[in-house]
Amino acid sequence: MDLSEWKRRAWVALRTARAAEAEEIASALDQTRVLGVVGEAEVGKSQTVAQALALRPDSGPLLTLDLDGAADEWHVGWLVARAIARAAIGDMDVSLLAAEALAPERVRQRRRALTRVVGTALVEEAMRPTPTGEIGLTAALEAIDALVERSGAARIWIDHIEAPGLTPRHPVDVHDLLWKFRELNEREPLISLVISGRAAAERMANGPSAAFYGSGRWLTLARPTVHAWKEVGADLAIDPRHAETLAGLTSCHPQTTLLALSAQAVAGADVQPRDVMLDLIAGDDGLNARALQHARSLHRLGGQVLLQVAAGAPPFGAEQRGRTSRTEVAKVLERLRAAGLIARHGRGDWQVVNPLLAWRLSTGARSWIG
Amino acid sequence: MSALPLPAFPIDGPVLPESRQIGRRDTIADLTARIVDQATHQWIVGPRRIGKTSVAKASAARLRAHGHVALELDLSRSSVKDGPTLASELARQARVAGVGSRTLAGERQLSRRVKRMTRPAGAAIGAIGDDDPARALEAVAALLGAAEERGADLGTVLQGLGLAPALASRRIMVLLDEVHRLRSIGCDAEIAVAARSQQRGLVFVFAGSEESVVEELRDDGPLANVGQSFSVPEIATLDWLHGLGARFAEIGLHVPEGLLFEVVEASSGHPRSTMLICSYIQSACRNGDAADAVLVRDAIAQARRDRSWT
Repeated sequence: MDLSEWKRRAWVALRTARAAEAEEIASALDQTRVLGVVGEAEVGKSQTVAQALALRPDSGPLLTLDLDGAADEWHVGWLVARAIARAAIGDMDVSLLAAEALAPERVRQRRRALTRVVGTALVEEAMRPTPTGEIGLTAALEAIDALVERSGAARIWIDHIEAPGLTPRHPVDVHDLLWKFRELNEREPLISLVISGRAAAERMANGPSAAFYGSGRWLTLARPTVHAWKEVGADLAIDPRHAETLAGLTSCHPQTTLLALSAQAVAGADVQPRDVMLDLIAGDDGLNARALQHARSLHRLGGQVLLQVAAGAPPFGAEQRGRTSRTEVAKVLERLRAAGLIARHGRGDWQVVNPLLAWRLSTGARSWIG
Repeated sequence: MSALPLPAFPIDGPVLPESRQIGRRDTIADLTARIVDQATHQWIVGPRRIGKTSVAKASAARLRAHGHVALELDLSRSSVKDGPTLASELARQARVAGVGSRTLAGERQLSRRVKRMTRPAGAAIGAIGDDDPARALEAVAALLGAAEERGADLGTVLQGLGLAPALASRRIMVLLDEVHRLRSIGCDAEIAVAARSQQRGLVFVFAGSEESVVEELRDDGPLANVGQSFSVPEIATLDWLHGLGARFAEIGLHVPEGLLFEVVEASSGHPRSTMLICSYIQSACRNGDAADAVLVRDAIAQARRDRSWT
C-alpha cells in the first residue's frame, strides 16, 4: 500500500479509537439541548462531533451549518436552506435535484413535501449552487420553525464558529447569529443545538455577554491519547513501541500523527521512528510556505512572529520585538492564535500547533528529535 | 420521530412549566400579583442564569390560566428588527390569544366598560366612538389583523392592545425579554408612551441581564421612571434540599440530605450551577452506582471543570 492508502486506513482506525470520546459527546446530547464542543485547531472536533451525532439519529432532522466560508447574512441563509433541504430530502438526492439530473419520483415527492412546509423560495434557493441573496437569515430561521412544527423536533449543528471572526470586519456577526439561534432554541423546546469550534472562539458563544453563557454543556475535545494512537498503530501493524514513540514526538497532534504512523507503516518495522520523523521534516509538501503566507495575510508581522514562536524565542523579548510595540506583538499573537496556527500553553509559552510545521520552521530540528 | 425528553435537571434555557422550578412559588406569585392586582410595569434585571425568564414565563402562564392574556417576546428574535416588525409579532400573538375576540368579553361587561371609558384610544378606535362595544372590539381585531399582515405603527398597535383589557376586563401582560436590545431596535419611545398611558390593563414586564444597558434605559430616556424593580431572590437552602430530594426521587435516586447540602454549598445556591452538578450526579448514577459521597463530590468536581460553570 502507498502512503495515501495507509493514511486512509489510519483515519478509519482513528475513528474507532475515538469512539469513547464520541460516545461521551453523544451522552451529553442526551442531557442538554445546548451542547458546545471546543478544542484547539486541527484536533478533530468536526469529525468527532459527526461521529457522536451519528450515534443519536432519533432526535429529528439534523441541520448542519458550517460557518467556514460563510460570506454574509445571505450566504448563511443559503447554508441554512441547504441544510434544511439535505435533512428533509437527503444529501445525494439534493445533489441530484440541484444538478437538474433525472431524479426518481420519490425524490421529487420529498421535494414537493418540503416545499409545502417551507415554501418554494427557500427550496429553490437550496437547490442553487451559490446564494442568490433571496433568502436572508430571518426567512431561513422561520423555515426552521415551520420544519419543526411539521417534524416535531430538529437538531442544529453550527460548526466552525471561529471562521467568520478570522477575517477583519467580516459581515457575519457570529455573536449576534448565536443570539438568534438561542432565541429559536428557547422558543422551540424541541430544537437542540450543537455548537463547535476552536477554543479561541469560545467566548463568542459562552462568554459573559454571549448567547450561551452558563447554558448547556461545554466539552473540550483534546488530542487523541497515546493509547488511542497505539490502537491506530495496531491496526496498521506497527510495533506499539514505535507507535508510542511517534505519538510522543508529534505530541499526539492528529494530522501529524496520522501522517507519521502512515509513513512508519510504509517504511516498515526496521526503520526507527526518529528516522521516519526526520524524513517527514525534510520533505517539502508546501506546508511551510502555506503557513507563512497565511500568517503574513493575518498581519504584516505574522510570518516573523510565527518563525519566532517555532524557534522557541519569546515574542515579547526585546531582541525579537525590535521597534515593534508590545501591543502590536500581542495583536499578532492573538490573530495567529485565532487562526489556529499557534496556541498558548501557559504564561509566555506559545507553541506552533502543528508540530511538523514547528520543526520545519525551526532550526535545530535534529536536536528536538534526539 | 421521538420528541426530546424533559430533563430532570435542566441546564439550558428557561425552566418550564412552573412545577419544574424549585423554590420559586412565592416569587412567581409576587410577580403575578404585581401584574394583576397592582397593574404596575416590572423590571426584572439581574445577572444571567438566575431564573429571570423562568419566573416571568411562569407568571405569564399563571395569567393565562386565569383568563388573562400574556404576550412574550425575546427581542433577540431574528424577525424583530424595528417598530413595525415588533408590532407585527405582538399583533400576531395577540390574535392567537384571542385579543379582540368577542369570546374574551361578555356583552354586559363590554357595555359597562366602554361606558366607563373616558378616553378612546387610537385613531381608528376613537373614530368609532364609545357607545358600540362590539364595534370597538372588532376594530381592535381588525387593527391587529392588519398589523400582523402588513406591519403597523407600534404605537397604534400598543394603543389597541391597551384598549382590549378595558373592553374585556382582562390584563394583557407583555413580556419583553433581552430588553437591552430595545434601544437598538428603536422602540423605547413608543413603549414608554404605552406604559405611561392611562390604560392600566396593559402591563409590561421588562427582563434583561445587560445591567448597565438596562439601567441606562431606565434612568435616562423615554422609559425613565416607568415601572418598578422586581428582584429574583436567592432560593432558600431548605427549598433546595426539599426540591432536589424530590427531583432525585422522581428519577429513582436517593441522595442523602447531607450530600444535597454539599451540592448547594458548592453551587452557592446558584440555580444553574446547582442543576449542572445534579445533572452530573444523574449521569454518574446511570450505570447503577449509588449516589454516595464519592460520587457526589466527583460530580461537583466535574461540574466545576465544565466550561459552562459560572
